[in-house]
Amino acid sequence: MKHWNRRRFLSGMGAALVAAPVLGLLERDIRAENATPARRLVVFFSPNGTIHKHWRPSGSGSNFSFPAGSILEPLAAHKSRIIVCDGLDFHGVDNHEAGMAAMLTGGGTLGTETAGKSLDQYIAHRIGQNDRFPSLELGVQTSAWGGGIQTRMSYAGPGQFVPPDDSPKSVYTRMFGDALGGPGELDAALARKKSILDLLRGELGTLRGKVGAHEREKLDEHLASLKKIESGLQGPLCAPPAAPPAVGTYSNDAFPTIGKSQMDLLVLALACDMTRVASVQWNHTVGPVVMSWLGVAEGHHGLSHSDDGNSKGVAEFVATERWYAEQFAYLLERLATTADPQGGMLLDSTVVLWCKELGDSRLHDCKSVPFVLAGGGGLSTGRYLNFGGAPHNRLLVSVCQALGLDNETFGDPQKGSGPLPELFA
Amino acid sequence: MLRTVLRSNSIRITGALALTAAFAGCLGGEDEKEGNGPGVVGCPDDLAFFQNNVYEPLLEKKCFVCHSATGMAGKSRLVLTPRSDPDALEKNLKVARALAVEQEGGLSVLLSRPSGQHPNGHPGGTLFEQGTPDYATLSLFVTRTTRGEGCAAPSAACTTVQPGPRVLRRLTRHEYDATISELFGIESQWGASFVPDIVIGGFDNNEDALRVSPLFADQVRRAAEEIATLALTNPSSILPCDPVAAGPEACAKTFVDTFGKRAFRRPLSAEDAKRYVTLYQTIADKEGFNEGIEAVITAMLQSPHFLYRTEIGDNSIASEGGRVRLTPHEIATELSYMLWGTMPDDELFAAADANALGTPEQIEAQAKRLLQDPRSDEILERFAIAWLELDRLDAAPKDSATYPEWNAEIRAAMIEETRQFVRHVIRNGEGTIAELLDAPYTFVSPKLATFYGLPAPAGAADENDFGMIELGDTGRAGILTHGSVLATHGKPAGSSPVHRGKLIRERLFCQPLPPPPPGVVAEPPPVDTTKSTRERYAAHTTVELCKSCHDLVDPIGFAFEHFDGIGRYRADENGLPIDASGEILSAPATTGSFVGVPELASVLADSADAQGCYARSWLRYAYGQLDEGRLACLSSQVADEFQKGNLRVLDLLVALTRTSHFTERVADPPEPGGPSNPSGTGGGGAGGDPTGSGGAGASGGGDPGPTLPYVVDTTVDSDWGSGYQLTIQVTNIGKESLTWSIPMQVEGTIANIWNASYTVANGTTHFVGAEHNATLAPGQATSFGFVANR
Repeated sequence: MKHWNRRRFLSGMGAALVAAPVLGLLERDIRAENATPARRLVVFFSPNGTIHKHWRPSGSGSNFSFPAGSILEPLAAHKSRIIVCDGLDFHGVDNHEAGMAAMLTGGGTLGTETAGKSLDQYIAHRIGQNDRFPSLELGVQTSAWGGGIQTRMSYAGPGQFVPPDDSPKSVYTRMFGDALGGPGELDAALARKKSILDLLRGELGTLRGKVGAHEREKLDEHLASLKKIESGLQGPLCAPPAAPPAVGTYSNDAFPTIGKSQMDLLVLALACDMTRVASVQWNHTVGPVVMSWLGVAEGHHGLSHSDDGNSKGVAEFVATERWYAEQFAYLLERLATTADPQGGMLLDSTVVLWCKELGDSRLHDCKSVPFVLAGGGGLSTGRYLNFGGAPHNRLLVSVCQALGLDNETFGDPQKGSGPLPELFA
Repeated sequence: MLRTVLRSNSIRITGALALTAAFAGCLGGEDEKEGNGPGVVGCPDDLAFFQNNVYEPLLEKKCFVCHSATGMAGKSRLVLTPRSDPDALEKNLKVARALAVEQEGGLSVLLSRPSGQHPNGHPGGTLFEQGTPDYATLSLFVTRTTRGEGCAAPSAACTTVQPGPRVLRRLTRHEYDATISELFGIESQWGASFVPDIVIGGFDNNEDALRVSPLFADQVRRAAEEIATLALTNPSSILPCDPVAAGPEACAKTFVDTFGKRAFRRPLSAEDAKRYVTLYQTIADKEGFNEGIEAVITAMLQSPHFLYRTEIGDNSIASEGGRVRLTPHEIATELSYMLWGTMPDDELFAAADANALGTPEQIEAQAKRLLQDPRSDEILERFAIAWLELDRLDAAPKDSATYPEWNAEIRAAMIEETRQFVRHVIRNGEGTIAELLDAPYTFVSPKLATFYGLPAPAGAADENDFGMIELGDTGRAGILTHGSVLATHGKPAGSSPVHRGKLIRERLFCQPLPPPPPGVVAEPPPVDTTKSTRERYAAHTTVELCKSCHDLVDPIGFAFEHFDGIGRYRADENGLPIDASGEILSAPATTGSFVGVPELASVLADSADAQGCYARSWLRYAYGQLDEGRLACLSSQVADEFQKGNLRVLDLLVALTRTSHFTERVADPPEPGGPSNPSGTGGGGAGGDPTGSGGAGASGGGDPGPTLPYVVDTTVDSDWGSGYQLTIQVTNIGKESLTWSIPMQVEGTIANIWNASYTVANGTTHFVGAEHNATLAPGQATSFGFVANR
């Protein structure tokens, strides 16, 4: 939460460094030679770990299947499009909160290659800066408890949360609201908005000179936010669809409706080239949503801790997890059937990652945290792989490389570096 | 280490006797050093330093709950002794020292364990993260203990109570709506729709967390545009002049000055006014007068001068000892937001304009005026709601099959009960924390009374008319038996001893609980209609690993077993008898057993832990700061006065306006990068940080400068005006080993340095490591520190 980790030193001037020069000797591109890097990233998060024996497919490699009644069975229609990743651990991390923080950051600090950013923010930083939205964070009831380590997964830097937007109505307005009106009207409005942004930047700069380092950080963050607003101030990129249905943002039973609206908006934002990095976060770790529409009376977090002796609890948890798998399948279906403005379908040029923050939910540990990958970028899909306890940092590196980036580490380099070549083999 | 002991003056007592020598309480003399334990060098004032800087603010607050004889870490080597033992402090210093001198991988165990650096981890998670002030304090304690260095740092920190840092406090969502209402005379729901803020220390108004994220900035922009458009539907309602009679430009200038002063909560400078008049002109020339005014409003509502309440002071106002005095308008703003949750009223503006907020008496008079005004009700009530996490009530999931009666109307009635109760206790009751906890009355409507199974209030006009009722022996007493509290902290289909016990621990004792240890099956007991909830939860306390932690929580939560998941009283649980007896374990200054909530409430009402925590919670809420770090001493003083005084809430709030923090701030710490260049930073856009910090958002704005193979984090551990202590952490982020040398501008003269040495050339101090840490492997980090006198 504290923002202490900032470099406050002379940047190199006069620094007497006795270090050998670093040479980039490694052959970076482990993707197949003819593979085109993916253009986009979609992150899909659902909370509270899993129960491995109900999650794991049977078989291995390209010869695998989803047992009847298992959590991933709803993905059967997309089997050829996905890689089920087993045996990836968050090294040195256990429990809800730490798992949530490490999931997409790999434990990065300011001094690491990815500077403490989460996967989505790092990639947005590298490829999304000229887009209308460098990244788009959509949430489904993530913030009823306010912001915090339990409720946030995206980080712009150590301790610096990037909050998701829980309201489809608000997302819709942000995507299309500035583009309403005729061309002349629109130009005048955009010009006015830009004059105001210029004035605000000047004020922030002046105020910045009057405050100490701690407060300057806040103003720098504010300035960076204005820059993102500015990139969003563009004319229409595509025609607005019908507005999403109005429901209570934190009304438990509206959970499925909100989730569908957010996924539809996400797909539209990609199809209209508004952004290249988008995430949908369902609830949050320790999330209490009650999937009443499945006939379940206990909260999801409570169910996730059902011991094997509690067969009713386990069955209900599996039902809720299958429901999330259905949502993931819906998202894949939409991406696979929506045209990419560059040609082909969106999914062909997108990497989609379904991530969780815990391994076995009953044990509060982060071993064999269940991941599912889908899409293009040279991923060799249609397989079930077990990585035997490899650090998930290497999965994060792999996703970056599938998007054409060259970073060899993600997060804490001590935990492991390089991609997982099997994903591309 | 051992050699240090042997070289000391007295090695007459040797061997086992030296290892076990008890503390004589006289730590200053050289002769006593062998009594400190093997490897301990120490400083003369260690006991005071330990008490004021380490034990009370850190170990007792964050470690005691587990590391006490009855806690889950009661079998570890850090077992702390409660205050009830007269020798507690000496005993605790001894165990802390033993861990301070024990090194593993070059780092003291006292540091590596709670910071997550120990190879075996820390089951309680990371409590003191590297780079934080708390970590630096522990580090200083280790340095003093093992090397006798750093003794210049003040040990009795609380003899000089310091104010906190200069801050910018972004308006919270509530404050935004209240301010918009005040400025435009319209109801505002815009703020309520903004992205929720980060909760720190239980409250969402911590200044450090109130940032302008990209999403927030966009939401504020849209709200500003909508509000400005709405305001211009009837220009005469907001304009102080007639643009036809006065002339459009003159009227626009007047508007900028008058509206700007209210929006920025201070008079506009000539430059401020010019900026907005220019904006008006640019837009008005193209689009017309109304559009020009609309643009001014839109911009002002996004301005940092509107969005941030500044508490940075003005260097031109006289101050002493490295402090900065806040301006009268900043003090007026502090008063109005702290006590009313909105912008200053005309009287506060007038007082600030007349510089009549300078003396403690003037401030106190205003504070009392604001507190007597019903406009302060909202803050008093909202504090209670945030304190007990009642803003989660609406989103608390409940199973409709188990609780078909649960609906939005009942939830609203429960919140209304809590609001009316809090208001009554503070305004018309004795006004104490004790009464909040154990009052024998509450407020209900006939509808809520029926829901609870309580008698309806006399003389109610209709089903929804609230009135006071006596609780007698209904099993209820005080705020903890409000439906709002019980339902928020209940499960979807039942009561919850764990959640309710946790509420008492965390919110009433300010004792955050550790997460369950990984590898333990942490299943809530499945529903079994043949067993009571208590019997099912008893499983927790038969498994040793679970027992140690759940003993902190469940025995308190069991007192609530007469209340179901939506706050209704139950004499039995589906025919099974209810045992509502419980006890409090491992609280620093509270013990006792009880049956049911009214008895628990009596224990809490008399609890020093609960009283102190309540005062500290108010401080967090009022100042938007944690009661730690620089404010640790001031917080202790406020809490002590509250406990020793009459325990009245209103007096606590007035006391919070009388502290040095309310009118003064410590000047900013020395800039290691040298003085900033204010003229060079104006309008630079993102990426203008002269130090090249790469962390502020994914802006990609500027050139980050040359990449260094190391990063440096500095922490000001302590600043006492005439001197200060810094800890600097160096991390090798390159791929080769690194022999480091760090250039830095040091303010004052270095008096004491550890883990590094330095040379000064051309005004720049160059630090190099000591023998053991001069060269760092890739990824390796080390830290050094120094004390400097100004």
